[in-house]
Amino acid sequence: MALFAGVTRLANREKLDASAEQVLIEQCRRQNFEAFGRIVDAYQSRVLGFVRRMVSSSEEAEDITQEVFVRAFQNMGKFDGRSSLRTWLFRIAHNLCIDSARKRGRAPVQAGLVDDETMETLEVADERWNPESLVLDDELMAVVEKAVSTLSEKLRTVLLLHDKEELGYDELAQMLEIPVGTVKSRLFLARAHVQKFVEEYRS
Amino acid sequence: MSERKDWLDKLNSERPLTLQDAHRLDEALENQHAVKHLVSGLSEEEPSLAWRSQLNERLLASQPRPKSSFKIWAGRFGLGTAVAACAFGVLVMVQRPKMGAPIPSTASQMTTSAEQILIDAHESAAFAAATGSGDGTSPTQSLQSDPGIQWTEADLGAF
Repeated sequence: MALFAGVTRLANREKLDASAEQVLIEQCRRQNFEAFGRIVDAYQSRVLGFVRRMVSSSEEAEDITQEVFVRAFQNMGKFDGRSSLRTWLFRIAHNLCIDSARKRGRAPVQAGLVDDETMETLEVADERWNPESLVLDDELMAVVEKAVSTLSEKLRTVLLLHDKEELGYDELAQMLEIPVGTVKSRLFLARAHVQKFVEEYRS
Repeated sequence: MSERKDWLDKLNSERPLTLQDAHRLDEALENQHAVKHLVSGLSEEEPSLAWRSQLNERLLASQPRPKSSFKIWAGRFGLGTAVAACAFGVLVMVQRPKMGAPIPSTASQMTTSAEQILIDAHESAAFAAATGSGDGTSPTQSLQSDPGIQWTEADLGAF
């Protein structure tokens, strides 16, 4: 069956340009499994990566990610194209993560607020914070993962979708239904939180 | 110092920013590029083949299945048969009382159908034949008008 053709393409993730994506969307609206398989190929790793960092367990992340694609397939006819397919998929993923957290009664984490003392430390000029000089070794990335996991859901969402998935301020504001200024302030606070973790690790 | 504290309070509580605050925030974000670099380097998760296979099954299950052509044909045949059976049943129900019903004897019981006209004509003819009344085709009249065998004198002499 054509649907299972996607399995063979797992290893080489497909990058879709806008026009190719539009053609696939039109085909998916006619319930074309093969076309949807290509969309899954292109986005499954990114969606799973985002969801994995938003929920507590791998099993839950995998289940939610499947649900993201099932809902996308079922609702492709309602996708109006005002946002990109990528933004739409992450919006579904974000909503499902929030629903899951509510069902499990997870208390919202307040980590990420920056006090004046922390800010003073972070504002000190440090040439080691030059991106080119940062060595992204496993240990450092584990520290970053830890920092991200201790952020509140609000700050984590903005940090991951902006810095990891490269969504713009306007896209995020539209997706989360908050002002652009709030997106920026959340992003700043989230980055400051990560920066603080990394500073502690390096010192 | 208090200005920065006020600015941080606004960010932490998500209060509206002045133009100056917004400008300061943009600058602060520019200075955090190293963190962006770190976050963008986070690993991606490649789903397993089992996961993808399970997703395919869920997608197939979520798809409304189109009916096969055989099912469509069988459905149409069944519907046609059912309609024909109903029509036949209605016809039988309509006909049954007429077949067992007594011969209408009053004008109110008479119908104007062709069948009824034929029955009436037959009954009228039978009545006329029995009583010898009616039109010129009655048996008595026909006997009177029947010329019979025309015997001649020669015939009678032969007896």
